[in-house]
Amino acid sequence: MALLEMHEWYDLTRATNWTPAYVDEEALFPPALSDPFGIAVEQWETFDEPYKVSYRDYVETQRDKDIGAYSVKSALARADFFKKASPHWKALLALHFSPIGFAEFHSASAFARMTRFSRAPGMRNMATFGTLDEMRHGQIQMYFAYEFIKHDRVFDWAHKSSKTENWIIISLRHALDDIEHTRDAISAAIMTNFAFEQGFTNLQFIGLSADAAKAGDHTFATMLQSIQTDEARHAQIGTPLISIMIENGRKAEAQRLVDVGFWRIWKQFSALSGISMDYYTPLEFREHSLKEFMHEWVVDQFARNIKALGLDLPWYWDYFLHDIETFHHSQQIGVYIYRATEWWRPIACVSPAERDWLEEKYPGWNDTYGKCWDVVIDNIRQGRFERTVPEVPPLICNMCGLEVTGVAGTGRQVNGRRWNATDFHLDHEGRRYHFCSEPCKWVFELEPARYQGHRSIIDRVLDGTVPPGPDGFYEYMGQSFEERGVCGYDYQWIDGYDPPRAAAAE
Amino acid sequence: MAEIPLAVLLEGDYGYKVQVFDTADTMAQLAEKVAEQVAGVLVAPFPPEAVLKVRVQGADDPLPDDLTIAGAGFVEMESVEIYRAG
Repeated sequence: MALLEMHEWYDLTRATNWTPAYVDEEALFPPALSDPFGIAVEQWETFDEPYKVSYRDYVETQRDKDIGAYSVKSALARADFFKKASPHWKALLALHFSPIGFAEFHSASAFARMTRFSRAPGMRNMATFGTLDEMRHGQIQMYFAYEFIKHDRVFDWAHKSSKTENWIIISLRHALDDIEHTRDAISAAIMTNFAFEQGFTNLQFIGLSADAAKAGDHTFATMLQSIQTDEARHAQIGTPLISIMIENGRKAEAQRLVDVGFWRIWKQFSALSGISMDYYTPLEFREHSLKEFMHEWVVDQFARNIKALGLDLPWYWDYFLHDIETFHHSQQIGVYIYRATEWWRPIACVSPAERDWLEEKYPGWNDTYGKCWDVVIDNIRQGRFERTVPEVPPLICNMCGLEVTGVAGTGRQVNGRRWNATDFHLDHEGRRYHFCSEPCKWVFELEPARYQGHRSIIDRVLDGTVPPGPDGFYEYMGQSFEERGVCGYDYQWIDGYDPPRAAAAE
Repeated sequence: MAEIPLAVLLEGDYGYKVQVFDTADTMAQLAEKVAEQVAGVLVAPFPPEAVLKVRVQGADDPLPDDLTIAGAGFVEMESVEIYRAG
């Protein structure tokens, strides 16, 4: 018997919906989980995904992609790439695999909730594929990361990280819980599929893949590309939802979801991709700076998508453009100097040649962030290693969970920049909250009841949740002595500042 | 006298730090304690003749050197800037 062509049956099945007989509509699709916006089911049934795929085609495509990615891994395992990789690349791999693998696996739960609770049958179909996608992403990244455990215990954190209270993991979990896991199906899809995936995944999975291919890590590059082809498909779920909301008088609500989701994920990617691209990628393999990638894929492309849908650019767009050039540079200083609080081996990546690159890409870098690094470098050169780690902790943002930072420097006007870290604080119901930026504070002010119970790692130190004593902090974060980060280059990266010493060493 | 944590930013640093003080500490002592922790670690040491001042974040003017933290009425985790006068 001949099979029907997909176009002959797809639209009919896509729009096929439940007619509940044993329970009423509201019991089947509770508004709090399905649609707090009160849009008629007939409107949701118009959901028409731009990327159409049948289950048969999906399985076939995914099987081929897995064969491709796993074949490359298998073929290149013998090459022992990891053993020969520099501390730069090892730090980059650790930074990618540790937080992302399990976060992707958890995303399967978010998609499954969309599958269960969306009132749009077409969306449920797409979200089913998304659920399977995210399980695949969790599994493939866990599997690829675990290949390295025999060389480096750091990669145990690909699985372990999400179960810890490490401050970086708290930061990521807070953001993903907020946009993916604790909202109704429509809001979670707009924030996750549109603001997060359409906005940013190109950055980590295509931009980083380009760097990986250039660095000769073809296994990592192939894996990233394989994942991104899924992301590009299921990221499309958000677009028709926004159109339906706008057509039904809910533009303001859709705008707010995009604005909140975009900002929350930007802060995560700023630290993750910013440090990966502008610091951890070996200089000779850097394809573009974070700023260049951001301008191509986010500032230009995503902004066009937002406008094409009839939404406005987020109100904080100018602030965001400034943040692209600043935030991750400060975060990199913090990640290096507080390295014992991280499970991998952080690296500074500010050799003379790397500083030249940073100055070229971010004019004024030497007179701002470079001033802090000058002090770190001088301490290392003088053997004052204990002075390379501050005894006082940083202030942590009560929204993004990252350090409250600004442009470093002399405090005087330098190349149009200025020493300007600002604590955007807010007093609410007897407690002072601290934010790294106006948008982080704004997100809190939109729904204080949603966020006020969360305590940053510093709040937990001050309220006694973190046990006292020299090891209490690390044990609370799940880090044994061996799991505390040390300089990935054992300080030898400063040899470039001391040519005679380098020559003598040779 | 009691302990009080404050959010402090020393001129030139890339970000705020959290440091615990005594409410009896004067602004001059507060500035000195912050400089001990951050100058020479993330900010170049100040010359001996440098005079450090304290102001609440966003304020134009410094607080008097002999004013105590209790006297200034700081709340827990008040945000203060420490900067070089002149």
